[in-house]
Amino acid sequence: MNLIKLTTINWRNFYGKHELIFSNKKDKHVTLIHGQNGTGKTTMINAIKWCLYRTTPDFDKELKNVDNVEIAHWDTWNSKIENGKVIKTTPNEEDSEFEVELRFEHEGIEYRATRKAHQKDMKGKAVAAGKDTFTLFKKYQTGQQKLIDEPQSTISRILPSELSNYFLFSGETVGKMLDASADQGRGYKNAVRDILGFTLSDVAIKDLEMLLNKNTRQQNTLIQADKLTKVFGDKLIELNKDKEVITGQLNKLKDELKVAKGTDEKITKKISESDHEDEKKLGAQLKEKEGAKRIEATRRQGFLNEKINLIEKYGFAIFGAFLSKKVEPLQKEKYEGKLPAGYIDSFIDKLLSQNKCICKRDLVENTTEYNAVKVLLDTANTSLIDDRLTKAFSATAFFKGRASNFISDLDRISNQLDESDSLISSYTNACSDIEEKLKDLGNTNIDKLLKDRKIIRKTIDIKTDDAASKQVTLNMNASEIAQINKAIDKVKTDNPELKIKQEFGRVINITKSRLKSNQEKYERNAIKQIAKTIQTNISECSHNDFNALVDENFNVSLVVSGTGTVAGGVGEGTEMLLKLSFITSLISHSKLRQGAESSWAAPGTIAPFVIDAPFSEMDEDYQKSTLKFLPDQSHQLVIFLSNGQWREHYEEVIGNFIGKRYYYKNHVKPEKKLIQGKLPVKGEKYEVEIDDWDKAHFGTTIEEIK
Amino acid sequence: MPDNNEGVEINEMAQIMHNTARNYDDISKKTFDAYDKLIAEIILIEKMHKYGSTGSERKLKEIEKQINRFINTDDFGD
Repeated sequence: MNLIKLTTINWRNFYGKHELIFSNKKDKHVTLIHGQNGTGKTTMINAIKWCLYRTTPDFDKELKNVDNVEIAHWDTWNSKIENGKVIKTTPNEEDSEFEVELRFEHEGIEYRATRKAHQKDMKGKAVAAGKDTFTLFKKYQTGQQKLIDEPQSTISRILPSELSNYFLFSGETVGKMLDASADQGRGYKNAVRDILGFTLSDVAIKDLEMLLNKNTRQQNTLIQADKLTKVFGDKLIELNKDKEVITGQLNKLKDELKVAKGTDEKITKKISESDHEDEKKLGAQLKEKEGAKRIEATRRQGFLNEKINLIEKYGFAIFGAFLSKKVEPLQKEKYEGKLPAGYIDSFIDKLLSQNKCICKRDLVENTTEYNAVKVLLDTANTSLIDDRLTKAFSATAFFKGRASNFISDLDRISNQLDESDSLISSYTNACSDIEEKLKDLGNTNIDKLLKDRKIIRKTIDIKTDDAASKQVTLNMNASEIAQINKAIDKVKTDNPELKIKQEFGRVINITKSRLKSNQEKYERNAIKQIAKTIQTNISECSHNDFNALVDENFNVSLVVSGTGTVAGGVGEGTEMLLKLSFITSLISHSKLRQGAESSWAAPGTIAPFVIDAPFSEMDEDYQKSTLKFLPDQSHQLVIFLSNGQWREHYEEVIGNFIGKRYYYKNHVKPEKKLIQGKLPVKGEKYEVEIDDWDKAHFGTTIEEIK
Repeated sequence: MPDNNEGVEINEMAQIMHNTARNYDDISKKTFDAYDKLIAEIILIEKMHKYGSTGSERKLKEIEKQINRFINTDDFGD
């Protein structure tokens, strides 16, 4: 999605018609709008939101007992004079209509979205239901335009409303967007996965499962209807019913676990945010230790996975090592390649010296029998046997080599696992100590929170065990189904309909597992890439030596380099930098995925980043760094920047990317004092405030800087 | 290969494994490319229906149709 042009008519303090043309050039994809505080920076972002979704953060409530809220400028109302004062009466029928039009491009097609409403239809802060009009036109390359039948659905397909907060936002709300305890403890993982394009594959997997279940039921009915396989069919239907029930229970348990973990996280956060200074300190320590414990647990899981992979990779070597032990007694040097000469030598020597064969016949020297037995010694020494023996030894050497690699790798991983276990245990002890100290402080709230957390953790443990046991039952069920299917294969029924069903099921299974494994692979990769991008941004501008960590829920944290300890109290500026960096890294990653030839599924959401820069928390270094990485990682960038936070030397980092630039001019009433200074841009000084308030100039106007 | 099937020649074994893997890669690449194409088509259906007003029944029918079309074409190499 690329923004082309925003046109507003009578929108809030922007009286009359105003236009913002956005820059779309490849290397100059930044539109910078300078504005004084309170002159309508967020207002313009809200205009885009209202146009596309009918709602904005501060303009979405139907307030009770409030008849009218001024949305269009008050001069668009009829008025009368009472006791020497101007009183607004009813909205002027003609001028009180307000309108926002947004032109944008998506996947090569240009769209024109227009939303209109009238001041008289305002109910509280919102336009009364059904009173606004929304139209969406599609423009073809020929210039012809087509009205879209389901405009809101089309907009949702292009940029869903729930994701728009990540692209069109007032920076001060960024903290709320990345709240890990949001969405019943699910945090913002779903939104982030949606931006990255993974939620569509989640739905696809579910749909494939539904189709598979339906197909299995039909397949089992066919098996049951066949005389040869009737018994199998009965059993399969029963097993399949069990499978569906257990799968449902397991999914429910998993959902409950997610919620419980979210609650746990919420309580932990509350403990760390206690008002009391000592508790706050201890709470922060506890949070830090628990964070470290979680990170270590993730590392431990990594080692475990490595161990499993290792066993899979070297499984044959374990078997080979066992074989090599069996071959060992042959000892090539001693028996000089006779196989199994060692045994034959002593055995035959014994027969010849006793002059008696095992068949009780006499073995007298130079007789046919004696020579026939003696020749056995020579057959054991043939080149063929020698060759076989050599090969057997090389095979065992190969296996032994692999086995020794396996053992050394296994030793390494076992040591890492031990180390990890000991770290986890030390973190657990440290957490218990801190909890004890917190209890000793005697704060009943903290005590209650600790108790609640204990209960929720107990629930988590029970549910985890329950889920594991359900999984085992499910595996057993799957194995029973597989065995029955094998037995059916042996009976070989010639039912073409059944064959089609079997093929259909096979294809769904492969598709589903490929989709799942690709998704997991790409998700892991996305997490790595996002962490890398954030790391680059942080290391370039942070005042501290931090490393960025992104966990599987896309929670972002900073750890102190070299120690792995979660960095506590990093300051609001760094927090803001981290969050902005995280959001732009999502766009940057989606951009990468869209460009990748091997894109196997839905590309991520690529949308313009429209931001009311949250610079108030940041110092100049951070502000400058932010202005450097935002254009680098955005697809199209629109920044509304407060005049007070603009420094001329920022031009060095962002100047080359700016394709369009505007500033707001505030028209104040003559009796009011002008308080703002001039805006310095590339050696020029621009008047941002002027006392020419009249019918033609009031509120805020937008001026382009050429 | 050695002159009888009882001998174990590691280099030969390695070569055979290598060739098998290479052939498998060729075959599997073809198969997986076809499956990836099918996945992309299913995802497209999901995308079209995500915010649309049509029901999930119709969506499942479209996916089913796509899978049947996949089964009836020869462009997957297994």
